[in-house]
Amino acid sequence: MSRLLPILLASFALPAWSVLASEPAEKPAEKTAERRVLLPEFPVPPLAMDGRAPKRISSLRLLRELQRGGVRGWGKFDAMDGDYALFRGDSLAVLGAWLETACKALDYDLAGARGRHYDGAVFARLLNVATSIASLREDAINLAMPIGVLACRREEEWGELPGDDKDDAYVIFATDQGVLVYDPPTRQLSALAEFPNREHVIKVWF
Amino acid sequence: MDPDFEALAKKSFVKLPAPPEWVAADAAGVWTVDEIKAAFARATDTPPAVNHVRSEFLLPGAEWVRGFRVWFSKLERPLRLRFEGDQWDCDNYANCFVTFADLLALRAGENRGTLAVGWATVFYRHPFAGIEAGGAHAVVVVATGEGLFVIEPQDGTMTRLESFPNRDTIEAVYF
Repeated sequence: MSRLLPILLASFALPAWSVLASEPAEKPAEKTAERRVLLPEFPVPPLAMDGRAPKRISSLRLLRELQRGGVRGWGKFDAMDGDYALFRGDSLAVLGAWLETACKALDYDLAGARGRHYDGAVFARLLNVATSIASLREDAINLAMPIGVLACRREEEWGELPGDDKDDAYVIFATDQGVLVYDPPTRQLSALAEFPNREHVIKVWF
Repeated sequence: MDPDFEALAKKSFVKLPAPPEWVAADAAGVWTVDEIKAAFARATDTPPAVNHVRSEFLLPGAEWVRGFRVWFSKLERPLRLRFEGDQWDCDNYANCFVTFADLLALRAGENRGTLAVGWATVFYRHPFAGIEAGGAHAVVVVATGEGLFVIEPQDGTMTRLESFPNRDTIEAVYF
């Protein structure tokens, strides 16, 4: 609507013959406006709080949580930061909504993404960056966002996803309800401890 | 999980400047992950671990990358990015650079593969692009038709991997 309004106003301002005489060429400014990237306002991270301070988890504790959740073997975990915030496990739906709205704004069919080339790491990164940008507007967080990439071999079926031995990647969240695994195209969410491919994890990075 | 669209109902949209257009025909082909590893091995005796989900990567044209780098530097103001401890540090800058490159490819309907734009953790033995020696840092790594490049996302400095002074101490790359 906001893009149409200037065009409509311009049409009323011109004599009718000038509109009829020639097809108005697209103005460069309109072209630029069309090419601008539009994203929904970045989502405020749903932080778990301890009084007035956000709950935190160290990278070492995060490693232990992954091991407790069933990730086996060494060298499968990289963390870039020392301390992470924890999300409220019951409030992730707003992040799912943001991701789907962002994809819609980009004219990208997330629900149908697995029918084409799909890389789950792209969407985990996008959520991490979006919440990190939003957190910059909140005071006194000073913690990294607890969103990472979980890459695994799909040996076991997980809901709509087959056990076909292909490599796949999901979003992983550290929350006050434990570590959760999320697949954006199918909207499947599972506790890591119940995630059927937890023993086939290749790598997790935050 | 059912997305909570109601929570977003009153939110507005963030408008970012017009990016360099992704032209599918400008992509310089596809590399397998083994080709990326081989390019690292040609530039250093201590190639990094390469973490990836997909095994093939779409190479953006080097010119597009140069244009993208300039566009990315214009995002700092509208996104109000600033260095802020763990909350927004070098890995966030690098991750953000990669994410927006991915976004432009998704927006253009690019379906042939994951863009060969990743980020890397590096121990800085030598200063580079304003970053002092003696600590860990995160940079962007891009494979293009002209080879592998390293980009400092905080100021846009772009150099060939062979000329990057810390190429021997790149620890891991994440695509």
